Amino acid sequence: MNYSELVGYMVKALVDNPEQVEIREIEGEKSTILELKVTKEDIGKVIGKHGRIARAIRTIINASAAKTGKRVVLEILD
Amino acid sequence: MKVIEAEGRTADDAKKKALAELGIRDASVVNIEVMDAGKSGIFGFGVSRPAKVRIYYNENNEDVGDKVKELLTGLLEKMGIDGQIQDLKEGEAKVYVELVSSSSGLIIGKKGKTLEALQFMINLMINNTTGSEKKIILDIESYREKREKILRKMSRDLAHKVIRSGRPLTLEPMNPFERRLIHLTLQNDRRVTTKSEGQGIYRKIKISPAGKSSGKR
Repeated sequence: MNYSELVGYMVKALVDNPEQVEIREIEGEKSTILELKVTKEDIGKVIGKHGRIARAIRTIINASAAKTGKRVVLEILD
Repeated sequence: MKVIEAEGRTADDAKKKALAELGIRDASVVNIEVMDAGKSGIFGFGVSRPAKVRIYYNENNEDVGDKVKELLTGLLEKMGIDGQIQDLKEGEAKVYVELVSSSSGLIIGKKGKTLEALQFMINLMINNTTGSEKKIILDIESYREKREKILRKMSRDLAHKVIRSGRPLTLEPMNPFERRLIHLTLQNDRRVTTKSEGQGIYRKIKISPAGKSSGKR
């Protein structure tokens, strides 16, 4: 599974500066951490009101990771 | 059809400004006419004139449905989950999409959480890339209809329980659509009253025996 690609696919369609989206995947034994970086102006577009967009992104990642049994954590850096 | 005009230092600048104003990223969905390419004075001397463009933008973009197809299939593919679009109906204000999948359970998720997230996400993606404000509704194996039936039955059963025991019951948190459904199901039952409590995603319904919750007897 390529989680960076999945997150990139969603995030790039949400932000105003898709060329400045950076995703780093840190693979651990039991979990994978995804670090997402977008421009300051775009941060609201990936978090949303009350974190609604971030929650949807996480739900979609988790559905995708369900079969592997691995935990995937999304972190939004600022 | 919407027409807007924009000015900028160069024709490209003006174009970008206009697209940003419309909230569109994909320039291929609009017609752009350069009215004046503009003129910039050399080293700030001479006469400079801003460039002017006019953008023709079709609001009822007919290919919203196609874009939904493209983005949704792409999303499922990137998720590594099997799923195809079985049916897509596009109306004036809504796009209704029915999916099929060998792993529909994964697409639906616990209490429909994943389906909700996918629907929310595809709405945002479409809105941001095409500027369309059509509401996209996702369904799979008539899940929504089934869930509706279950909720109706559950709320009636719980109402009976409340009537028998005389004690109020609080349900688990639900989304606005599901709460509305329960309020509507029980609104004609004079023996109970329903009320929503809590904030945001924790908002849940409380079913109380009539007359007791309001304090008047």
